[in-house]
Amino acid sequence: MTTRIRNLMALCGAIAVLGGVAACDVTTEPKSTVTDANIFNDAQSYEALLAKLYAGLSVTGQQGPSGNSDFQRLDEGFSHYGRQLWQLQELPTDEAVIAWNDAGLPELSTQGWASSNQFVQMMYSRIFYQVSLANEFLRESTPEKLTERGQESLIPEVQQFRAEARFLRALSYWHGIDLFGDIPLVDESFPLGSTPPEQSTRQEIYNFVVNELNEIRTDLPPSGAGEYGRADQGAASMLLAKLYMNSGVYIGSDAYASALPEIENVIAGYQLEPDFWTNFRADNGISREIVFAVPQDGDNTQTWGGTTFLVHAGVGGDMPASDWGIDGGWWGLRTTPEFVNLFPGGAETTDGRVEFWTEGHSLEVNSITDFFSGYPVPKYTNLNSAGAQGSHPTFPDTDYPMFRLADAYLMYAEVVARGGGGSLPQAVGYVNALRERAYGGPGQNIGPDDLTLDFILDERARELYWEGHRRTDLIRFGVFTGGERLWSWKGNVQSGQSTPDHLDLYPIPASEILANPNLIQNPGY
Amino acid sequence: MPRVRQFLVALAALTIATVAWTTDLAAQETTGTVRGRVADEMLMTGLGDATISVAGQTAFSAAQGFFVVEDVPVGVHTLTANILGYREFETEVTVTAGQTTEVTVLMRIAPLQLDPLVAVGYGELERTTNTGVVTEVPEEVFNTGRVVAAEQLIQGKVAGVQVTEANGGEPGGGVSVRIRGGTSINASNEPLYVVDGVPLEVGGGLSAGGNPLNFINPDDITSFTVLKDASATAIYGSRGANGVVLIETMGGRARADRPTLFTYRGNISGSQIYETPDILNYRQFRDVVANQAPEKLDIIGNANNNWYDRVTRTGYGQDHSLSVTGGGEKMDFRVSVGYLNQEGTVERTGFERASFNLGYNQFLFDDRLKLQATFLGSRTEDEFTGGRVLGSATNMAPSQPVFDAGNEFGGYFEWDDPLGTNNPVGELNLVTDMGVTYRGVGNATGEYFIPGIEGLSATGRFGFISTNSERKFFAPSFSKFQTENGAFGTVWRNNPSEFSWLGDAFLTYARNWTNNALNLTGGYSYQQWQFDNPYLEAQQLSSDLLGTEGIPASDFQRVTLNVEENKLASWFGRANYTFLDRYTLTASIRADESSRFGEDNRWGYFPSFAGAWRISEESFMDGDTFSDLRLRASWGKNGNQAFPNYQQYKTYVFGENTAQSQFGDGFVPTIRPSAVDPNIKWEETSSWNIGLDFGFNNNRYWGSIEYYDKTTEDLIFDVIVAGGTNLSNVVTTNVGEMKNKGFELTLNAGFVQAPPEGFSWDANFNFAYNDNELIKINPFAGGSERILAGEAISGGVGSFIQVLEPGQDVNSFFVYEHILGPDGLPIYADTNEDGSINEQDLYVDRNGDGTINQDDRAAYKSPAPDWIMGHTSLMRWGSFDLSFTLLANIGNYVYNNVASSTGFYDQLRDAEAPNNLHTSTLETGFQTPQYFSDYYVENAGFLRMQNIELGYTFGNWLNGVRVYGVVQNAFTITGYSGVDPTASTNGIDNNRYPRTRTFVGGLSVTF
Repeated sequence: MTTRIRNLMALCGAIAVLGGVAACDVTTEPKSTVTDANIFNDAQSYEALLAKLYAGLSVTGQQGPSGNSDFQRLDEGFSHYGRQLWQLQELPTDEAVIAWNDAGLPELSTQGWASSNQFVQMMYSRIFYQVSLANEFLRESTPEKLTERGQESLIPEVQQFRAEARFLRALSYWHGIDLFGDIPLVDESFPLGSTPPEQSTRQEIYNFVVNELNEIRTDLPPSGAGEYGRADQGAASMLLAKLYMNSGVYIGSDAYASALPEIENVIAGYQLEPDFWTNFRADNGISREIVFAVPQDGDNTQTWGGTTFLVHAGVGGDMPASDWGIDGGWWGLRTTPEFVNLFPGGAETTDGRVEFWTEGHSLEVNSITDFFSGYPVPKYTNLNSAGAQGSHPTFPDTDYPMFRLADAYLMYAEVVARGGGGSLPQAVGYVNALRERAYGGPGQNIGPDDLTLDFILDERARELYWEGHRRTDLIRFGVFTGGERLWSWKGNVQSGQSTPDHLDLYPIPASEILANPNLIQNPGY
Repeated sequence: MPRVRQFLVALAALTIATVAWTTDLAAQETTGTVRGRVADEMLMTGLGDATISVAGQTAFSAAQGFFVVEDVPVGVHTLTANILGYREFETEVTVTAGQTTEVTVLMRIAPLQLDPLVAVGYGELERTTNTGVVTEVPEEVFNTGRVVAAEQLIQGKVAGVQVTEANGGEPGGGVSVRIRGGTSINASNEPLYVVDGVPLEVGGGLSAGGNPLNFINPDDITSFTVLKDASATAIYGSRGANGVVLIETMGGRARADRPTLFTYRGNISGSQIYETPDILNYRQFRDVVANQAPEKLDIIGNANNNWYDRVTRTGYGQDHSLSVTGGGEKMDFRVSVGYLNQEGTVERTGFERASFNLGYNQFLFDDRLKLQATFLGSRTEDEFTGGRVLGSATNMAPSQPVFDAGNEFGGYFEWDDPLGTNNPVGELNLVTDMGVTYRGVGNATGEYFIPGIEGLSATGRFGFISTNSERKFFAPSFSKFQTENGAFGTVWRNNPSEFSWLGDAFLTYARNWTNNALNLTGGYSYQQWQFDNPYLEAQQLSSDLLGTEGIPASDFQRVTLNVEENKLASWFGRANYTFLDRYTLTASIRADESSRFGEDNRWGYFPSFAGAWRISEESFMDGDTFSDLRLRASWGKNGNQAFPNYQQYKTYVFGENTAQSQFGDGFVPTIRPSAVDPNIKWEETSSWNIGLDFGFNNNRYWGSIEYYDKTTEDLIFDVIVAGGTNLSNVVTTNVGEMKNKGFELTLNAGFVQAPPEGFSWDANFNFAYNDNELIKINPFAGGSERILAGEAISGGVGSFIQVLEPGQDVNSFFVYEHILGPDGLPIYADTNEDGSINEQDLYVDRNGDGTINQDDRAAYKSPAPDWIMGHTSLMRWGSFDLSFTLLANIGNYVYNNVASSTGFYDQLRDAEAPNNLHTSTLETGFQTPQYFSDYYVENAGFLRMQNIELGYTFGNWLNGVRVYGVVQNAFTITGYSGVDPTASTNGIDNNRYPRTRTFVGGLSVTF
């Protein structure tokens, strides 16, 4: 329609309407929300958007615990970043089974997932949601844009914000290549609403992430000096160490030697807590051991995912919920007998890092869906170090320790064991620091000869169980799939059976293949 | 209760009072006079506006029915009388020269008679020149009994119109209407309602109650007109894709010399539940616990409780309305007040309405200016089912008592385990959830017949809709579910309000010449809406004493405010031309500019073209077989803009205090950008229609056959975005395409047309077949597109049982094929002998990959019926009248979510609080839930006796007194095993409000 005709119509409309009310312009701007045209005129918006980026890890929307979800068509409580990351990393391993029958959930425990699995889809969506938010932040916070808006004075502060945004994007890309392999690489140069991106290789994204982390390092506070809940150089080093440790899996060539200085940088910035459980209580914000936490708070950061899920789901049956500072268990998570047997003495172990609940439960997981089948092994609690309940009985104050110093200790040991450099005595010393803490004395310390790769894999389970590392570890050691190492319900039989190695990668969600025809599905799906 | 009124102006009892007298005036003359009175045969009330013809002379009856025909030739003649809505009256009169012959004309109502004028958008057309598919349902044919919602008046009355209660027998509950199948997935599928010329927001607009149309007292409605094809609906443009329903109120139609009459109508009713879910009784429950979960025997009680009985009752209702009509030569009016109170069959539920309706018509300036004003106003109050009462009544173990005096939950028994089902009686009695809505819809219309140009008139209309509503909720801190969800006492209040105003200005030129007839309409319309929605909530209350009416100190508060606005500016035009009374062409166009459309799609254009050929007027027709035969064809486009406002803007949503990020020791509130498609626009439906109207035997038998084919493109859907390309997992945009095609057959018959006082029988039959198919839902075609859809079912989290898949019905069920055993029941055994029973044993490996996982689910059946059929019979015998309505659906399927979510023995074990089981468990033996088994998708075809009514009229008292009785939902024949085969349009039966059988007794008096 030509402008002239449109103008004519507008004119006629103005004349025609009763009472001469001019009513031809129908434009209406949103009233109760702010559009992108003016949100950044408020200097607070940069921090608020950065906070949203972090909140992408800790909550699921703009209203806690739920009600204004970031996502549509997916259950909000389930769609939590950490909850899905945890499920995908733990449920297919020997560390956890879950009793619920939600569509696609039992398939996670049996390595029987399909590309339509809703949890796989949620994780993929969360990863790229973080990427998109970070890209949006980076587009809107360039020095040029700030200058344009007359906000030059903000540039130094926003410089660190930008580094943190890039850290969070790198973190999610790491999760992306770890879980899914080849995925698209989308950075801030990619406009919103554009055509679907091409698929990149794992190698390309690996290189991108390594490069990014090295670039932003100096814009981040030194290791251990960052504000709690935010990324510092320690977090960046930890992430780099994770990439290097697994580079054999990701790009087919080892980089243990590169991991070493990053691990040392982490170790320099943090201290082992004397009490193992300090890291998992309602007041674990006080832990000097946590390198990067995803904070939760009973009043201010509420979610149905994260530690809300981890505390509640690990409790049920005859377990008194108040012993974990909550108002009720969800009858979900237990562990396998194979995990129990990693501890000398099994459930009766004197290793202080684990507390099996055996009363009324069988050791064997005779049925995945029966909560009484298999021992609960709750690691997280909503009680603080004084034994008092957190601020809310439903929503724990407990933060999720995404990266922890103990992991760096064990990575150091692994680098040494794999011949990537470092000192053997130092490695044994780090492992024994953990074991002395676990046993309350040096009685179970190891010697240099004990530091084998098999020992390290098991020790990682004993120290880091239920912290979302297990699947990656098992893959690095080559035993996640195949028949070398079996555990209950691997391959959908109780005794465990060999599974095909294509399961080392999750499928790209069927819905994503539909949305982006450039993507090629992972082999085997 | 419209039936009451219908009989006041209707029905028959005939007396003839012929008084002939001779006069001295002698008789050289060759003509005589006939005079008399026209009256309703039953009520004996005089009828104005009747056309009396005798021997070529014609006269019209005046207000009280009196008429005089002069200059009638001497002899024996046939006198005929005709009046709209009544059968033609014929009698022999003998006219004597110079004498006056007295005749009493008693007319019997003809409920299914064709109206020569049909209402269309922005005007009316003669039936013989209308080319669209337009079905009028006059009040005489409305459903009877206790009718709360206006839509229920036409349930089963119009071919291709499916009227479904969203929540079974909930009084005042939502009603959804589908005209020729749904055209949308994400946007609304409800038709546009136009009340006395004022379009409501699609679907009815805003309400704090269950159903926005509940603001109308059904007694105030005189007719519904359903516009179905594009020729009829295209003039409503971007709001017409799902059809248009024009509602005319009693006051909205001018009636010359309206007599002054008061009418009272009232009824009382009682409703009873006639079907509850098939769950175990106490004995059965104790047996299965003993067999399947003996460890739970010592924690269950021995109360022998039927929880459904504990939360339900007989629901009594009353309905009264009083109206007064009157007027003079140049004006008339109608004022009515109504009051309805209906108890729900679930305790503490109900609906109440107080309503007011005013209609005023006035002619001025030599009748050149016609002014009309109508107003409908009401206060409605809905009391809702608290919490999850019905689900809890299904789940709660029948072994447990209602009360546990002195406990921490207000004395209601509750399980210690938070996973245990909550006591439904406790929830019912402790929770308050109610909504009050005040709504007014009014319009003032002036039509001016411009002097000098015959047939030209200008119309201006101002209309408004004003709604203020209030929903309030309170749950005390000690109620079980409040302690479980961490709220510890909740009070919230929500006050949505809406104001809309409308201005229409259009010209109409209607002119008939000898061989040509032309009807032109064109004009401009503007409507805007504003919505305000403040909400406040407090949790963790320090006191429970204030209930819904106050907020004590509380540890958590939430206050939100949402204000939205939208505007629609439109041009429209229609030309209708008829040549030789036989050949008609119609073209119409609407141009809509909507605030909801993206910048590059600001204007939408919606044309239509249609033609009709009146074959019965052709010379080659013998003129005897068919009293009417007309072939019609139409094509046109419509839009659907019933999607949320501001979709085209990238907005930032502020986060609440409960969703902040911790930075150091402090917490930082967040902002979230939205995913957006800046070019979003209407969904576009193109439709073809071919129809044939026919009538036999002077239209004693008449009806129509229609075939239609609708294609909807640019379907709005929340499309999964390619990772990294937008700011959510989905973006709402225009993708997708679907088709609906089908045919309709309508038959109306005056089977028995008796002489006065004899037996008469009129009947309507309507049949409709619709075939829905999704063509495309993904912007990148190819691959097996399967997108989970519909509402999440109960059982598991995020469990969707429906799918969008090209080639299938929209929202087909998406299930595994359960292998059947020799007994025809789904198997439940370790068939692969791996030591456990799981999906590997039970389902068919559809994709043949050797393992059973979610990829083995497939589309299977759908909730939409293939066939919808309705039948209405209206019979009269002397002073008695009898009528009934039958409704049938074929090919509709329902997912029995009550059975699937309770039909497995783990219900007994999953917590320290065993749940009751569905009786199907005893047959299937399922230990674990099989939510996605096709076993739970059941054929829900049904035949239902909607209502049956018997009435008796005392024609000689006052101006008519009628008493009647109605049974609603007299019976339902269905193979569906659940409570109600019409679960709802989404096809998921999940503890819906139970459907009721209602007995109504009523009285109407005119004086």
